[in-house]
Amino acid sequence: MTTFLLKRLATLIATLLATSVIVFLVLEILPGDPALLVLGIDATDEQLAVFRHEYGLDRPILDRYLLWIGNLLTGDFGISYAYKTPVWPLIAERLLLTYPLAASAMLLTVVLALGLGVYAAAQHNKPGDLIIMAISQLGISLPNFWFGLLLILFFAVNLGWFTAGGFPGWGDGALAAAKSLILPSLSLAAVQAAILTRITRSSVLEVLREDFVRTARAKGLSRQSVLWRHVLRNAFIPVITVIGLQFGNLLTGTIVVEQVFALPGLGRLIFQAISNRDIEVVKAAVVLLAFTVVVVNFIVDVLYAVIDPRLKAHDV
Amino acid sequence: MTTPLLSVTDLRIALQTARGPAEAVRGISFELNKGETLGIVGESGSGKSLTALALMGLLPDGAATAGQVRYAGRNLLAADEQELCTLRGNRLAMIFQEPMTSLNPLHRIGDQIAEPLQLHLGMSRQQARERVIDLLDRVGIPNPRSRLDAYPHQMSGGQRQRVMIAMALACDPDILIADEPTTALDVTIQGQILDLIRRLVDDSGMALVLISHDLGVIAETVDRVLVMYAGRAVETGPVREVFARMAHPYARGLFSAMPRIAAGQPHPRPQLPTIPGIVPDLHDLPKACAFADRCDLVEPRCRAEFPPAAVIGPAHRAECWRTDVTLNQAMAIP
Repeated sequence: MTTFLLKRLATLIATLLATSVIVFLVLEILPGDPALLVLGIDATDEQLAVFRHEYGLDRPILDRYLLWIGNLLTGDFGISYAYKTPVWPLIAERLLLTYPLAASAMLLTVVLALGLGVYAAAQHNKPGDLIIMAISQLGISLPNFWFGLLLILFFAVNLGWFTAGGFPGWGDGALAAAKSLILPSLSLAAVQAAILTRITRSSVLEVLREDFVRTARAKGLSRQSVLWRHVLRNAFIPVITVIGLQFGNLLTGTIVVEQVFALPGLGRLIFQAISNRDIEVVKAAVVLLAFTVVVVNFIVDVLYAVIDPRLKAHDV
Repeated sequence: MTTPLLSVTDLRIALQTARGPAEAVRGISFELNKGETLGIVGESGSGKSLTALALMGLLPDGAATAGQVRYAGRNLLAADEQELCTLRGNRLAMIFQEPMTSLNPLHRIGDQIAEPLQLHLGMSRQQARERVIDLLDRVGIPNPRSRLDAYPHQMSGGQRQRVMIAMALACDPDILIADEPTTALDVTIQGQILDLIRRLVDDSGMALVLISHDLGVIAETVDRVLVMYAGRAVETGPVREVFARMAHPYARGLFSAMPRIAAGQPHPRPQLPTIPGIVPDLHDLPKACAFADRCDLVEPRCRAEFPPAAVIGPAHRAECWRTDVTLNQAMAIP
């Protein structure tokens, strides 16, 4: 198990390094001079030069990458061109919204999808299964921003149960803050839950056809016991893979959904920073998102090994 | 006369297929007494595995049954799921063809064998573990205590089949149904597993239904044999009598098609005889004798009228019009 973990950890670090290089290079290639954007087209050449020197833009690319990554490792995310303040506090504040939003959307996705998917498989070809499949087909085709607007219209405008957008912050009571995340989580989760429901269903159906399920039935276990004791754990292996991938989708989905619900989250910050060519903020935020996705997938890898003893054997 | 342990009367099984229901087992009858061993032999698609699954109540969804399977005073075909669950793995146990896929890859083998003990005998985990060690020892797994926590992928095919047998024996069943238990194993292991099954049947007094496509396996293992073709028992009888005087052309064909090694045979060996043609489609069975299209002794009557069970010996029957001819022919033994 230790060897397995070490190997996965090495992969994790390599992935993160590669991500940082790609993010850095992509943003270098991006057209638009931060100096011009910040100082305006009327700025003199001297002013531009001073700005570039101040932010290290005049140094060779390799130097700048090493400086950036070195600072990153010590927790220094650089200075925002637009806000003229350190990047980290800007991001940290928004993470307090975006992480809970993504996590609650993920939780909603998993709970809905596992429940509905397993139920649909157990009711294979019966009305319950067909209804769930029809709804999930609809769910897959929903654009999440549009679904978000529908939710606002119905639950906030018509019923008045929720506010139409905005975020009160965690300082004024966690309950109010959590409440304002319910509709955004729902609109983020809808599509992912629909996809995961279908994957869970087909995975359970596939395992139900396995020989060992027949063995379990031949032991005298009821259909339900077989499902709980023998089928689910086997069926969750592909489901967990997809959950890991979906977490990345949910995080990027926040960029749109935070716009729709006017939430001051990381997604919104990235959106604004891109428009403003606030490269330092974009770089830091994208690396952070990539870091989160890679770490979640590392956890997924470890979960595989916990669920499936064969993996440990192959890797060690 | 004592009532038999299990009696199957006119068992019929129809499966749902894309072309509508198809009868895959068409009126099978047999009896099984305590401690008796019965072999069912036939090609794939002859209905032998379905017959076995019907005894366990484990037919695929949508299968329709008719007839009776009487065990301990009740008809298993009419029993509800709950009643079947108390019998399966307890009084009736089954082992399958594929030991590689018949065990749950994510559970330790000790836990898998303990499941029926906990379920049917109400044993605690600890009691069950002790019993599992005994069982593993009985089926010839060395160092059983150290193997309890092994996963299936850490064992060989032969060992896994031993684990399957241990699982089936857990509650001392009245009947063990073995569906091609050695087909997926190496030849050397096949012999060991058959020896084990035979020894366990002798020791415990349970009855055995052994399903195989291999006449050699049947001849060595069981008292009585039932040869199946297209869902019918075309020849039945005590194994010695059937092998001594095979009456049905299909059974004779199977027997001739069996490769064997003996001293004094010419080298290179003459080509092995085969049965011409293929098993007929269940949707498209000949009206009378299902073997008619593949039989060299076929006459008009075979296609017009269903052959009655010809009496070959006191307990030996064959469903064929032409037994007068077959019994006088020498067997084509290559």
